[in-house]
Amino acid sequence: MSTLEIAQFKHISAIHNRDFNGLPISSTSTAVNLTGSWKFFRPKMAEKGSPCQSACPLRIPIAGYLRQLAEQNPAAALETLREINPLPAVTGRVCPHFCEAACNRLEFDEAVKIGDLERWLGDFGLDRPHRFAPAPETDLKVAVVGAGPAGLAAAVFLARRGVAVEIFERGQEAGGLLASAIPAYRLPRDILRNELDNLLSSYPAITLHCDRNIDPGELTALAKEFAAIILATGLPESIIPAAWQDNPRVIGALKLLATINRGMEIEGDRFTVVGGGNAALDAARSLLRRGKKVEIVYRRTLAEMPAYEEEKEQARAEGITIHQETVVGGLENRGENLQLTLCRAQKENGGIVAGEVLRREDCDILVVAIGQQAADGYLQAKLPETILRAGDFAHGAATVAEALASGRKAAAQVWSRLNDCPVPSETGEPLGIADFTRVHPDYFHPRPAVRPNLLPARERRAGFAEIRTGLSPAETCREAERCFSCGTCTTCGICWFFCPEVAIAIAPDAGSDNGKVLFDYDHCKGCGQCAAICPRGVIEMEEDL
Amino acid sequence: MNNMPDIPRFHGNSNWQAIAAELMEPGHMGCPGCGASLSMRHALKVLGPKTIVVMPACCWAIIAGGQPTTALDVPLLHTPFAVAAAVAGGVRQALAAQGENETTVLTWAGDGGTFDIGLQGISGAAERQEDIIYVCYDNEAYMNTGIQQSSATPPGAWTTTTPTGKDFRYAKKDILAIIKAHNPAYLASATIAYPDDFYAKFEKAKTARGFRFLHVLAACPSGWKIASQDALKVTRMAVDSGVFPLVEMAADGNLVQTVKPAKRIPVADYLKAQGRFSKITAEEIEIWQENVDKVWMTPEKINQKNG
Amino acid sequence: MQQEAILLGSEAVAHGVRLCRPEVISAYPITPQTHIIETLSEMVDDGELTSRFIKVESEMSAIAAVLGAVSAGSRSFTASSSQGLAMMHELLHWYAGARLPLVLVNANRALGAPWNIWSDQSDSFSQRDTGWLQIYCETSQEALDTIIIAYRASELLMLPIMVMIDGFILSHTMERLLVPDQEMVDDFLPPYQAPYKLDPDKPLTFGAAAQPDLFYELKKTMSATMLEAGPLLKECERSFAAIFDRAYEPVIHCPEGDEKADTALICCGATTGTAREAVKRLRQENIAIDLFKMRLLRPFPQTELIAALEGKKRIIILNRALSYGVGGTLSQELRAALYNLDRRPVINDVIISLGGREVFPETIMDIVKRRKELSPTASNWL
Repeated sequence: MSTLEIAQFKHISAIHNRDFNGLPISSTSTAVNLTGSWKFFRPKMAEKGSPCQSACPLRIPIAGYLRQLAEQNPAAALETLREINPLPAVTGRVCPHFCEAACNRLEFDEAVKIGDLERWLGDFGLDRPHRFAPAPETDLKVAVVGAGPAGLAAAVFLARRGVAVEIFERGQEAGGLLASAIPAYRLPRDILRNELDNLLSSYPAITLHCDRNIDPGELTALAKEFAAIILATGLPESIIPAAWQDNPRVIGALKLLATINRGMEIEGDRFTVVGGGNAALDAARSLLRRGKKVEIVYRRTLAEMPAYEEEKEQARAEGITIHQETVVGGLENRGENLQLTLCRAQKENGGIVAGEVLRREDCDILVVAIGQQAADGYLQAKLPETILRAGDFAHGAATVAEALASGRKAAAQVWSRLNDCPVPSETGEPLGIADFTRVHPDYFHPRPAVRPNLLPARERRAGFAEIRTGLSPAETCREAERCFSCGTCTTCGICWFFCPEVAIAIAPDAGSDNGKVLFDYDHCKGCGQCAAICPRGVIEMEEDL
Repeated sequence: MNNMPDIPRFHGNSNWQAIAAELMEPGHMGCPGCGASLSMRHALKVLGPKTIVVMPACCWAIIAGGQPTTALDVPLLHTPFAVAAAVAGGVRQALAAQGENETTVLTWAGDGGTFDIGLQGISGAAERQEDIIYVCYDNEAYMNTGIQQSSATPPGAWTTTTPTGKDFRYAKKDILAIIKAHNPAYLASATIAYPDDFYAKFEKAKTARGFRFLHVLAACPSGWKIASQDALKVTRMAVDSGVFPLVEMAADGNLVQTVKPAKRIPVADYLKAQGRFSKITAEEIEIWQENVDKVWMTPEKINQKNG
Repeated sequence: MQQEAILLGSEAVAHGVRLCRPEVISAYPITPQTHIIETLSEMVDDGELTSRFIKVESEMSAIAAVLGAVSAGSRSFTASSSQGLAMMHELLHWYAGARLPLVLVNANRALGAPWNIWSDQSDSFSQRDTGWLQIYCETSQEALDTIIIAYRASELLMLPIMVMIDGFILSHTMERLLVPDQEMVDDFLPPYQAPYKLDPDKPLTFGAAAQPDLFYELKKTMSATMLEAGPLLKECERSFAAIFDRAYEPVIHCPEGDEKADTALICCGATTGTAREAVKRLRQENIAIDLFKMRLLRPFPQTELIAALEGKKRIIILNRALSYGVGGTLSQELRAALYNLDRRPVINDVIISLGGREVFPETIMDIVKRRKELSPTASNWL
């Protein structure tokens, strides 16, 4: 019997005066039975990355900030987001959001509208300075060439480490292609300006020099002044076939977009845009908004167009004609006009050449949007190896998110080089991904995603007003609640609820991630239901022999 | 709290605390993944500390722990197999005689003690409108004695006394119809795999007065030949396939469905998820599916069947 | 105050129960117990008795309901007979093992097959191993008194007590008796204060499975309590006598008997009355016979019995219950009890009646007269 004594009854009436041991009465908790010895497997907390985070070039901990949003704590959510992404109001609008395509909810009902949530949070932060843990000041000075997203990101992440950064921007303002190439209806000017102003004023360690072109030849001198140089000069020039380069009626899409973005007049009425990327669509749709007649010529099918689906759809809704599988076989200046020879695209030796002539057509200006390249001088420049590259200039044309990630990475590399230490990991690669096979949404109910409004096509054509409307705070909260928080314990307590052994405790404030859920291994029998039901795919069973 | 699944009163920490108190102890003798253990844990959370449990021979007679231990933090009276309903009636009448009308008297019995050996006593207690809640946690066989068939065992199911599967001519006894015929104060089917429904029904049972009966499907991993981690999933499938509809008696005395599963799944999926149905034939599955289809989800049809 | 009354045996029982103020009564009708529960039902309906009467659907539920009620701390009552008592069998074991008090009145009746509603003691004798105290009554007055004594003893012991009356012979027969008033009974029998019960404020579990070693210990304790029950019951009987002026003992020597006689008759229950008449008449014929009544069967009053039978050379036991293949059940009990005596008397096992077969004084006189012809080993049938 050892320590397990039957409770003594002190309330026995006096007449009994008897020893009540030996009665069929129990009052000792079964907790004295260490049923944990029955188990062969035991649960453990194994937090993972979410598919959305994994798909994000920046590896933003999306589940984390969505949860804070759902908890109606946007200030905390903003900090979580900005810790990784210094330009959320921008990326919330222009990033194609690979995260949404990877969202587990896609297999359940529909993806969480992460982009719209990021945008809302970015706008929420426009008048809120960046907050970051202060780093000890250093006497290090780093030069960044180019104030596009990559350059800015590099500057921000260095500044956060106490490094003084000087950015040299050849244009009149910061932003790079964000300012010069992305139309206002996708990224309103005031939003961009506020975002950048807020960023720059948040980091006194960053000094921006505009209208300051750095020629490759100057780099050697610059290297003496600065501890390191990061080149983030981007790919600001449209590629124009050699035969058309000298034609005054041919213009690169980026140059055209920059002109429009600066609010300057565009000559000509009829425009033909060659190309199928976002720049082509941006150019065409901007021209449309300036009241021009515009059509697109693309050498492959609509489905093969690399521009974002949403953009394609909007362009078609706005009434832009896209000639598929068509190439400009030739062009001829005829007086005021430019006559284009449009030919059927024909595949040949893995490439596409002009086939039979379809028709000839007149236009005023031909806009070329078939690719981008580095600025003059940087095209063939041989750069010292000590100079780091970042952004499009380093990796080729890519998304803003990729440019930001590249800038951040360059900052980390510079830091490691200057301090002779390993490259610091800012977003530790997760041990695993909580993909749809690992999450258990059994106790979620399907709930449709928010549907942000789009301006009607007719209104869109009338000007550069932003097409997509933002979410209301209530919508934001509701949509953020849809996130499964794949891979991250939210202390939702489902494991606790469904444990038949009363062997799980939830300790939301226990601190460490693994401390949020506590398993009582003395009593857990290893049934595995907690792992089988964990909605986030966090709990795993491991052998326990 | 965000993205909380639909677990009762989980929406917010403060409410979560409302069901945080445990009236069941760890270290009980239930098998890993036991649905009956989990059901008890939550039943007591709803009913609260002012509950007296009366329990005949059943798995729980063992789960509750041997002397000197007990798994419950409420009074518990073990009784012989056939008499739990009558004992509970006696407990309640004694409390009433002492002027105590708040304490809930809960009979917690398995399917053997309910569908079979205890049925007469239940009928008596129901007729007398004994003011008790009778819960049958149905794991569909005599699991405690080593998985022998009961009249709650579904046709086709393997047990140690139906080695080739229970004869398909013998349907599972319709306990709800039997109890309904006694005009109980409350009557419902439930399972903890549908927690909101489970909680709502136990709350209704708690507040009603008179004889109240809850038929709770409780997975038995050993007896159903399923992996312990699948117990909840398989129980949900029982509901989602229509094999175990979640119903309750409405004010007009008719049974109405309380949960319409988002996606109805074929009966075959439910059966194939369990080793105990491994010998069931395609024809039998078809018959089962047809039977389920006949009553599926229209309360009128359930009533026809039961009424 | 004690009021004189002429009552049926069943009514006397009902009044005994009424005076003990049970909070819960549960019973199922069976001849010849029915008058008891009919009378109690009337008392409840008249408001004379405030008990809750649970009219159950079987004897099994009747004993189950009082098991629940007493577990919850209420004094309770049930009554049965014959088949009904047999149906309770499982619960009789459980009840005693649960260490709860109760008074159950059994109107003794034969067990089928074939059907027979008349009196013998095979129903209660076959329950003698269930852990209940058993008291057999000769008269309705004794039955009424014994119920009051039994509640007192049962609640002190935390063991149940079965009080027997002979079906029809007692239950359906009018008798002049004294019914004490409530105040007297209240003085003797305080309200039941359960030393342990189902109480949400002090949650305990009752009857959880016990492993072999613990089970053994529990039963050892229960057995020891049963052995203490004899002296305790005697104590209760003494204090009852002091208040009510009626004395009872485990083994009662009948004054009709001749103490000096070397032959003694042993009876149990209402047959004693007939035996008293027989012994009186035998004395007129100059046949000296002593007479004892076994009032208590469990716990078995071994000491009292040995003292009572001191010096007897022959014991004639009038059995009304049979253990097939052995003989009269009461005889077996006595044989075992007297085995350790240095000078053991001859024991004549007589099966005097089964299934209500009439026992006249002459029946008993005839047996006594033929005593030397009776087998000392085999059962003697009429």
